[in-house]
Amino acid sequence: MTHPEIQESLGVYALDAVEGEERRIVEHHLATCPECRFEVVEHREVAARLASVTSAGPVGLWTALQRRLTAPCILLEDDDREGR
Amino acid sequence: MNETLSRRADTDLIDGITQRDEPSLAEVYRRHGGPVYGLALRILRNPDLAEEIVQEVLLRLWREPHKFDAGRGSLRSFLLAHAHGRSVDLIRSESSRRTREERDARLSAETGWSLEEEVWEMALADHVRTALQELEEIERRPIELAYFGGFTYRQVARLLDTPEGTIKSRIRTGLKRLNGALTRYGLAPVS
Repeated sequence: MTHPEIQESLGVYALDAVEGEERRIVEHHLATCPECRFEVVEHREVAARLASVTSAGPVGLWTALQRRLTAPCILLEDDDREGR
Repeated sequence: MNETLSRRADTDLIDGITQRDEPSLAEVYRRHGGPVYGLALRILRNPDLAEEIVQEVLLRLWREPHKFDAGRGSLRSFLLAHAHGRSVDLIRSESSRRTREERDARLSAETGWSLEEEVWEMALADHVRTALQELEEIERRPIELAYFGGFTYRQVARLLDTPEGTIKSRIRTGLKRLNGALTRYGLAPVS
């Protein structure tokens, strides 16, 4: 993919709407392109605005989480996607 | 809630988490747990799974706070991006076939839901709504389906009977237009 083609994919990449080889190509490119990384950050900030709904976390969720903080560390699934 | 803690910047809370300070994580949950849960619930339509996503996102922050880089955006967008990625992974995985079938059934029946009907945090509501109104439906709908529906752009293209390249382009230009509008209203980035 050319640079302009990759740029065209940055919006769908930021929304996790691209998969497979295309996703890998974008991620590979992001590792070396600050300009495109910045654009992805911007798109995610916009998405975060859209997701900033009023709803509070459910009652009891924090208590459940607290119990797990001191539990033996179980390795979470490795997830090395850009920015996560 | 500790008043001093509630005034600390997100980056200070990350420092606290790095030092295993549980109240710092509690404050992160208080600030951002609601939107993270809301996004996961929006995508998964399953309260139990959404709670699991919130726990996973915060546990990961607790165990790997160094993965948050303030130079790459706000803490909220970092947490939401993680929650979004995990939610779409879940909904696309074979193990959640039943969830997907329910979702597809919902989509086929879906007529009413739209971003404009969501209730935003009070301070944001009017500005976000106004910014969304600057988008054409042909840009807004693909963003809704991709972000809140958890669909890939190829799936969105099929759902909207529109070429894949066009959907990609509309999502990008739509996000840019929203960014411009939100910036004009002094709303970017998320704090």
